[in-house]
Amino acid sequence: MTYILIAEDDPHIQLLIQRKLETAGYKVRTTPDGEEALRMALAERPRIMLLDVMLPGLTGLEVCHRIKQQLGREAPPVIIISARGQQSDVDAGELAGADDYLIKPFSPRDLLDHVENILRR
Amino acid sequence: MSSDDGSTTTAPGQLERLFTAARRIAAATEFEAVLKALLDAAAADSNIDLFGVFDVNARTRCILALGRWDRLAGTVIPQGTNEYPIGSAQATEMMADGETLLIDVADIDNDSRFSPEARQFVHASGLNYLLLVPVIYLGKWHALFIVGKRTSENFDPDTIRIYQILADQSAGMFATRKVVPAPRESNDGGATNVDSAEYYNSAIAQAGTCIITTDLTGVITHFNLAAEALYGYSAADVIGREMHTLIPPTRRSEYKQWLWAVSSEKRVVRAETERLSRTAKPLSLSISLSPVLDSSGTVIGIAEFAVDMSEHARAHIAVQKERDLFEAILETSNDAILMIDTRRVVLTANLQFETFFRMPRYPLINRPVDFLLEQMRARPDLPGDLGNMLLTFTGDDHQSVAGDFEMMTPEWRVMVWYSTPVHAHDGSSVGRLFVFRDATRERQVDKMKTEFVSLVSHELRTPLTSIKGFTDFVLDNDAGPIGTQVREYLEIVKYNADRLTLLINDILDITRIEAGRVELRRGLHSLRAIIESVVRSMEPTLEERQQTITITVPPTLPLVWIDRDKIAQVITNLLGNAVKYTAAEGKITVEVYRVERLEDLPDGSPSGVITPALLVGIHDTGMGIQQQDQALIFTRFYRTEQAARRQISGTGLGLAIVKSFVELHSGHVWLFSKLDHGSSFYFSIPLMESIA
Repeated sequence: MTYILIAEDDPHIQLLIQRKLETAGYKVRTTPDGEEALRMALAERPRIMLLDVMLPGLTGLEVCHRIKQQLGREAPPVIIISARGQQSDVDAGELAGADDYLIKPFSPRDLLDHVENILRR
Repeated sequence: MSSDDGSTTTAPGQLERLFTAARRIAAATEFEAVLKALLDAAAADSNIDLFGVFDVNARTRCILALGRWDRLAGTVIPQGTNEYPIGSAQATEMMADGETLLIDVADIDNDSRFSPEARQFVHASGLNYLLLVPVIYLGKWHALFIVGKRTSENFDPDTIRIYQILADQSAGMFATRKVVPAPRESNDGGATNVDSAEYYNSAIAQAGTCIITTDLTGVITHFNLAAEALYGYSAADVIGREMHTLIPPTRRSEYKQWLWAVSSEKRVVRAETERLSRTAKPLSLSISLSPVLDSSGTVIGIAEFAVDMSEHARAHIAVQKERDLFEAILETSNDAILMIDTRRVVLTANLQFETFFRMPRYPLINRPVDFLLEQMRARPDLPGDLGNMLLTFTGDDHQSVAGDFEMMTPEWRVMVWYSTPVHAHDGSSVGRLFVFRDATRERQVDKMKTEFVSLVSHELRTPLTSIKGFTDFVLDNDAGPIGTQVREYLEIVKYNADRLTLLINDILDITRIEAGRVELRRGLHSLRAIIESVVRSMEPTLEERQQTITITVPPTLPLVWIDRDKIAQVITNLLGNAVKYTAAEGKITVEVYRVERLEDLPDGSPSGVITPALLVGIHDTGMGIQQQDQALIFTRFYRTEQAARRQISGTGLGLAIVKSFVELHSGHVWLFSKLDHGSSFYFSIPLMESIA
């Protein structure tokens, strides 16, 4: 089963993403902490990662950057999920190596579409 | 005769009196007080019987009694004007040289130094010994003390010394009294020149200044032409009448005092007073009263010179007041003000200038601006921009410029400045004004506001994500099948959650626009593709409202150098409005075409449109916009009454964002609309020449 790692500190949004992806048949693990997310990503090698930006410990962008640096081509694709939707925020995500950027609030169906688009690549 | 014998000791009581009198004289500010101190000292002196203070007219060799104490009569301040000849030239010369004369009355009849009148006076007073002490100040003889004794004992050296000291102590006050010097010619020449008198009379009659003469009792004797003009009386009307005719009752006692001062003391009185014209109109005058003397120096009349205050002094005072007022305004200003004249000299720098730049201003004023620049260069804490700005614009007679700079010491501050040439009424150049305002607080508040709105907007997105997300989740049947009723209600939740999201986005956009933080990320894009994509995203709404949008775009259009997302938002907002304000059966069209020149624009388009350009027109057959709303519709938060009445939702931000984004692209946006007939919105995107 495809394993997706979610780092999101708001418990309701975390639950929303988890439920939507589980309903679609994915295996999901979650963490509210940036450093924990980095550790899990390196140890568990998820198929794809969804990272909130504002995380305690490390920000989602930092986690993304480190994973891409450390794992290179082996790194999982990353979707940044953020309340900040200005072009400069999206650009920052791209610089950190993110593969996609989703702005809050989002529809869970959109989220699923983004995930599946990336998996198809 | 000279009494320079200082070998004996002074009695303690005499010394005390001397000190008291000297102290009073030193403290006196008025001559009257000096006179009183002298007379009191004399009255307390048991060694003498008479003490008189006389004004001296060295030229006429006459003395005028100012005050007298007599053991038999007490203190007398004479009101009269009687003068006595002193006597011989010899006596006068001796006293003028500062010599004190000691006279034994027994010898006086044989003393040629004294006139018969003086002899008569001395005999009548029953005196045996006389002491004459001249009051000399800076080599000039001003007054005379006459001390007398009726006893058989002559003056002792201490008494003589005391009156000499008192004369020295009070000499300054005698000298500064306003004693009118007697006219030179008439005294030296003796006879009066008739031609000269006529000449004078005519000059006085014709003088531009109002001149009135009276006798010593205040009866008018001359009234010149200027006086006639001022008072409205003819000379014939008033000559022979009392001055009281011209003086309001409240001012009459004052006039009486002046009359006495001038006639008895030969003083010149200067004052401001009121008079009455023939028509009882109050006149505000600045007058000077001076004695008129005959050839012997006797006061025979009083001359009054008057200046109409309302015409002269008042204008001067008004100018002074205005100057004071403007200076007060300048000094109180919260802004620093620096004025440099056309010669590049600093005219003024106000208090705030000193405070802002911590630079004493008085050394700067009336010096070349180069001196100021030198001072500024020596101050590393002042930004170089400041000096450069002064250097660049001083001497410029045309431009008004504005800007800002930051100061880092002693604390971070933002200074906003503007500078403008100053011209006088007649258009001549006066110089250049520089105004500096501390905008630190404003900038901080501005920044705080932007940050706050940004923070709030982002914070709002988090709960919205859960609201919208779980609503969608349930609507997608991910939580199991739901009934139609539940679905209908959840659709309402979803619709409002989406509205709230758009509102937050708009507020964030407008805040960023206001803060000047919007930057374009330009690329070459196809307007057709953007329009099609926007229309596609609106399909669910169009379907729901049973509306269609017709797109008219020519097959070949140049690509434009634009921020795709911003222009997409412009089109979304304009089309969103068209959809919102048009009924189901209405028609909505989007057209794009290329305009080469201004004449290609629809009639009534603004003249500032940059061409060549691509023009986007969005037309609807909706409710239209009233004429009075059309000018205001691009203002943020502005909503038309019609929209509010029909309860059509909106924030009043959409068109403000449209305008900002279009203008960021150097484009224009405008509209044509008629109430109940629909609206046409146009916006232009200039084509860059290389692309066009």
